[in-house]
Amino acid sequence: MKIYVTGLGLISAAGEDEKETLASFESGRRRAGLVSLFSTQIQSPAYEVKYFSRHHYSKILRTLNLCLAATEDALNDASLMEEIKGKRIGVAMGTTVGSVLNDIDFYREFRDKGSAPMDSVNLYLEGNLSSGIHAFLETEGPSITVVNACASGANAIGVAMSWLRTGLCDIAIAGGADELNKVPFCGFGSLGILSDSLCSPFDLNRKGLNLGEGAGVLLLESEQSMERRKKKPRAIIRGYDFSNDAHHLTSPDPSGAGLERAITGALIDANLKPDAISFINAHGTATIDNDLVEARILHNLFGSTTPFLSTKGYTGHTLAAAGALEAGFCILALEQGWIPGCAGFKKLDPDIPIAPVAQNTQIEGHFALSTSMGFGGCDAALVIEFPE
Amino acid sequence: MKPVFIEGIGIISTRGRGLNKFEQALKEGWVEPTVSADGRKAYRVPKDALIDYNILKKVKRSDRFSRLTVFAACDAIHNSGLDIADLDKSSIGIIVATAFGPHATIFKVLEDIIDYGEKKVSPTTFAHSIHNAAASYVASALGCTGPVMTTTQFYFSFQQALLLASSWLNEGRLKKVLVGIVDECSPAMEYICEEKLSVAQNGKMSPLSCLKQPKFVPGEGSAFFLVSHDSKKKKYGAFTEIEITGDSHGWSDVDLSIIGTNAMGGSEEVYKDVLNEGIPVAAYSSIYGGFMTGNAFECVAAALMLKNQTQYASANVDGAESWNVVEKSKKRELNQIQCISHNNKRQLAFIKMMK
Amino acid sequence: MNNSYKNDLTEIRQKVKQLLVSNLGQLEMLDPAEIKDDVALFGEGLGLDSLDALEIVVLLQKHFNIEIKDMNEGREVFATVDSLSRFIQMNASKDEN
Repeated sequence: MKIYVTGLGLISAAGEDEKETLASFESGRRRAGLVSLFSTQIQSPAYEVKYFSRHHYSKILRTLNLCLAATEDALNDASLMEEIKGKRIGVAMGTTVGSVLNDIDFYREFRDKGSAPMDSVNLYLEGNLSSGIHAFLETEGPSITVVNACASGANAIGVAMSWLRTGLCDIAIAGGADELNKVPFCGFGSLGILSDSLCSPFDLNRKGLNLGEGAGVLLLESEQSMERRKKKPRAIIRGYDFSNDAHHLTSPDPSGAGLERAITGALIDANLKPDAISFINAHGTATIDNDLVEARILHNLFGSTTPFLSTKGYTGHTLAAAGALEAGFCILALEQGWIPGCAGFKKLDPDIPIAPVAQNTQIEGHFALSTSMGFGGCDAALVIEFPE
Repeated sequence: MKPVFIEGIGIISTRGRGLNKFEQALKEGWVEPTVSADGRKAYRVPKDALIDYNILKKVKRSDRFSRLTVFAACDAIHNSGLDIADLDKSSIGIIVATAFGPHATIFKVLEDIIDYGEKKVSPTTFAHSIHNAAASYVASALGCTGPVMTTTQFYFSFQQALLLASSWLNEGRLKKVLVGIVDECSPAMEYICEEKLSVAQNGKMSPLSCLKQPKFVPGEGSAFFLVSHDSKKKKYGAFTEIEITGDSHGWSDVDLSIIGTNAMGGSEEVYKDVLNEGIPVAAYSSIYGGFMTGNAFECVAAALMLKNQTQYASANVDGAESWNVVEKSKKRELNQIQCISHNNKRQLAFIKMMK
Repeated sequence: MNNSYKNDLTEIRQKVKQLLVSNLGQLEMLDPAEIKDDVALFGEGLGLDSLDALEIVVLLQKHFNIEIKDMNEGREVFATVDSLSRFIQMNASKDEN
């Protein structure tokens, strides 16, 4: 069953809206720099949403704030903002930072004094993304916050698809959000996968990822709902699947079998053969392991002619937002007829069999594939169609 | 909703590991909670419940949260009579629902940052502080390569996860789903409970009194159900309806209602809307403590009662008004049971189960 | 750390074994005394993996104030308890944490 996208909300360092995002893609602009959101001794460029001005939701977690703003954009895009209140809709949102109580000052004070103010606890308790969106929009319906690490955004879209396909709702808001936060910044640092320079996906000299932040939200609808509203779709989610490596806590399975299963499953779900895919938005974090495994699987399945890229060079790794933002970027690319060059890529690693596009590239056809991989062996793939 | 049949159950509670221990606890009723070194009362899982070399060798390095998860998940498979080696590993999905995730491990990461600095955080601890580490261990321990998902809500986590499991089965995506919950206590979380909630100093929770300011004792544990659409594999009845929020007042054709304690949910007055002199009602949360995903424990209790055709006496009847409270354990014909939970907005969620 | 300790390889080896067992979950069921000085820490030997290697990097920082900047250097150093201990002996210069 096809699921229709009638609204998009995309917020990242590449841009706070579609126009700004496309301008970054077009010019190769990479808005990374020193971390300004918190003090840190770790030297790694970060992709912050610098001029995020829509703080009219005061006293909430930054992650929820980013998510609400992107949700509002998606609802406006779908002409639903005014009529959503009181409706039954599904909300599936992925996050990593938004799910943890990780306030360092709270914990330090509790440990040292045996007591601490509850402010950060209260923010956390109000910060669950899907519950928070339901509360803000005054809607009811299925609600799930997906915490599948860096595949969460893609998985949340998958959850909403399951709801729509089984009739639990006929409109769903799905995506992911994460803020740049000190704790994962330190954690990724300790795992040795933060690059001290701008990230370079699939490049011979790649040294790791840069963290980013943002939110990607898709407004998904069943065919009946869309027709009832006389709304035209911007895209169709044709296929989705996900799989688990059952291999390692942090490293991808070197064989890539899980990713291969996810991509193959998504193509079967979409009833398409690999050669129907116009381009691939790869997970491409620019870590040694991720890019090696991913490129090999893409080569196995698609050969060496299907153009592919990673957009991490424009956004940094936005963790749980990545899968949803990149599904949105696929839609923009299908609409525009071109994909941006893989920012940061210069020289191919001889161990990697295929090169991403280095320049902005025209694309033909109607179908895009977006892949996501995450800690815990999560692999997810989405097939996105541009409607005729 | 198409019935979702229960093939196997695994549970770890303050009374130990396994369905037998949980059933024994239901029969025995309320006991004193455990008391920590800092004097806080909580229903904690005993250490010996998480020692089993056969499982631990598959999940070396795992933290306590992951072990709570893996043990109950593996037990649900064993309980169904399936051997892990014989599982069709690509056709089983896994959903782990949690309210607070591995927060004790997250606090350890913060401790590293505070004590050693930003550049000396243990990578292993950080890797375990990510919510889906536990589910990843379940996948590894079982060798499951199908969809594995961790979800988090503060209220109705289990209900939402069960609804998703039902969707996956309806879509034909999978043949079986291992769906369950896990949440743990820690000194910091017990402190938060103390600040946010009123802790029952006598160790007794009394949800049947439907108080505006109820008293709680924090709890922890894990519970997993192996479910499918295959009625022939049914071992403990089925989940037949799930209603979350909305206007539902539950079902009048059930033989028993079980109400839960959704710690952090505050006022339990809303239960008055659905309790009456008719349908017998029971609460068991004072046996295992209050936690946000604890409604899965009520479903385990219901599954056991449906299988054994036995009702267990409500664990604490203090303050109950003229409800038809189950005061005695006895054999009784039970065809349908509903499990009821509430959130902090005076809304209810219902899970209906059938023999 | 005084000089006699710094030079006492036996003592460093013991400390290394204790640190590995108490910090690497993969080894938690071992008695430090069971670990041989020359057994391979990774692969066929004790079965440690890439995450453990990163953990050892942080343990060296926390307990010996030694920084491994290049994981390729780590590969040789982390081969056995003995190689790791010799590396610590050569590099430990500041006070233990």
